[in-house]
Amino acid sequence: MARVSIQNVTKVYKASPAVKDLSLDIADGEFLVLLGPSGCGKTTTLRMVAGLERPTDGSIYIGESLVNDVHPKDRDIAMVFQSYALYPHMTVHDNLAFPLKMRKEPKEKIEEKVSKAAATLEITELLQRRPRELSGGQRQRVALGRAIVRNPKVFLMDEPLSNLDAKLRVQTRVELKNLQKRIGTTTIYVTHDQAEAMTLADRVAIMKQGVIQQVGPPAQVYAHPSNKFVAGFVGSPAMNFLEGVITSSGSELSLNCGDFSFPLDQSQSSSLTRLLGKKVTYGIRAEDVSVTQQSTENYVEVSVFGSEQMGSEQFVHGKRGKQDIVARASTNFRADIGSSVWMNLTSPNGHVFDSASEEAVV
Amino acid sequence: MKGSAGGRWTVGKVVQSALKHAFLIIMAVISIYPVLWVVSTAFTPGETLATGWHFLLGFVPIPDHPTLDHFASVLNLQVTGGTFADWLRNSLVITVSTVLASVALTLPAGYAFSRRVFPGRGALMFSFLLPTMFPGVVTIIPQFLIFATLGLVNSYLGCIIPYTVGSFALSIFIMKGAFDSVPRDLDEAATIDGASEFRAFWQILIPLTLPSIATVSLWAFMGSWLDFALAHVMLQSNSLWTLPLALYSLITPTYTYYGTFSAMSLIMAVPVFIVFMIFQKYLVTGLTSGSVKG
Repeated sequence: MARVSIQNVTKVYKASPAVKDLSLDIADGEFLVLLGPSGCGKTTTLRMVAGLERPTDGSIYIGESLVNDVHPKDRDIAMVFQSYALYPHMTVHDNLAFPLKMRKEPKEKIEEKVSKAAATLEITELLQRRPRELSGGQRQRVALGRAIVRNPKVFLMDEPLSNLDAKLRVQTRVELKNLQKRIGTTTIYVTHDQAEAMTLADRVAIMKQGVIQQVGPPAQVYAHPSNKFVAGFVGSPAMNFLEGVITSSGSELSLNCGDFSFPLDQSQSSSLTRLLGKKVTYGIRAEDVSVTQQSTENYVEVSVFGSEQMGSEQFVHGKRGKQDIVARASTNFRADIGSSVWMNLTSPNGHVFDSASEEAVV
Repeated sequence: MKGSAGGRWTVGKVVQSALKHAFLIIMAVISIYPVLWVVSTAFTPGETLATGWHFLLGFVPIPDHPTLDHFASVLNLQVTGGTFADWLRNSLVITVSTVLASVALTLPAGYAFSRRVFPGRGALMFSFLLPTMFPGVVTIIPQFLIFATLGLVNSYLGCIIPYTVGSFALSIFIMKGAFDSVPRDLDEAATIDGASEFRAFWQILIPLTLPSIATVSLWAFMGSWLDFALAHVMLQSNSLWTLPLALYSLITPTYTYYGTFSAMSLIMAVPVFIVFMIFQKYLVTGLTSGSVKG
């Protein structure tokens, strides 16, 4: 086990930077998730820690040692690939034994460790099979087994669950989290799936265009996104964004969105007064928008254009002018397409972002 | 009434199918006919082309009194200074060396073209293909002059080197394609698991590309075992002849030993047949299935 420290790392491919001046410290035993859309540089970052890519600039430490010039095989890391990368010509047993053989461990030790890893992942009965004879879930377990078998300092995981079907993915997610807690190995996990990030991570680092946008525990990132990108990327359905200008009538602040306006929550007044008359982006999550079928003061009238029944709840999609707004409602809420409903956008959980910089103000 | 996806047989379909099969049968007969004739001649007494009144399929003669005499005379064949044993040994040494050299050189070359990015990669790849755009005989004279200067005419190397180089163009292409088809994740996984680049190549990539390695070996084998033109130029001493040169010696200006010639042709075909049988399973099996993806 070891901490990992990434310091001012930049990676440039043919003059276009994939990762820009990235710094990140991962504590010993921590489960850190790198989250972001495809092409944001998260996999490149992981591959630089693995030693499969060389940073153009900056330093990477594993434990106390600078590893920039250390070959992957000497970094004492294990990686789980999105494709699993099992050796197709070897049995499961030989796949698990391969990293131990490469380290010239004695035969009895290899057998002992392979049996232990196989037992941990409940794949003992598969040891004599070849990868092509396994299901997707079983292959995924073997890939994990190959990572844990030699007890490395750091696990690197590159979207290891993305090839599993939805049900198996959720199940494996829980198991993976438990496994990591039990073994206690520092883990860096790359994914574009925000739900995966939220459930697995001790801390999540959200990336965009090679730059970390925010690092923090999932709950904090969800409740206090540092900018509009993070706010929109984390959470499902995505946060509602409304463009408008902050106006005041007496002590009350409102957001004027052109053909409609609504009051902002009193609790936010003090920090927003300085933005009076400025253009801002207001963000509010579906669960913070309440919706009724009666016209109500300060609620915004919208026309329903769709609803998603989720079983335990439903999401009502409304339209006002060009503005789409999603609200969470109970399953028995009647949302007939084309009918009018009223949505309350005033909430202490609303977020205000500077329109120009997109940074969070509140 | 056939219940295939195509539905009912119509007159058009029947005619189409008949034409297709007729074409295939004609092509098969054209390619196998000379072989059958050689087999027949090899077992026919006397040194004439096979004749007889019993015809297989109506046009291949079957000997009235089949004999193994021609095979015995092949084994006892001598041409001043060279025996059948010498020629067989020469052919084996040259062919085995060519196959080994070709495989040993094209595997790393294919690997480099597949996995490494280096300046001039495309141009280098093209330069290997360039010679294949000219007829082989065009290069024989310059090759002879170069090897004469190097003192390699009348030596095994005089054949082994050109055969090996001659196999490069196609073989490197095949190996590059084979390595390209192995996901890079596998080498990277091996590297992270503690393998050096050579180990990853040797223990992961090579076992996964055996079918292509078999093809490359076969190509090198055929190119040297059956070659006549280059050997004819390079190997002048009778004791250094390969089997195709010895075979040619049976055709003299005054007489052609058809029976012995045919028997020797069959003997020469035996290793080709065996090699095909051995490699057949590799030629048809793909090993990479199940390696990646769920």
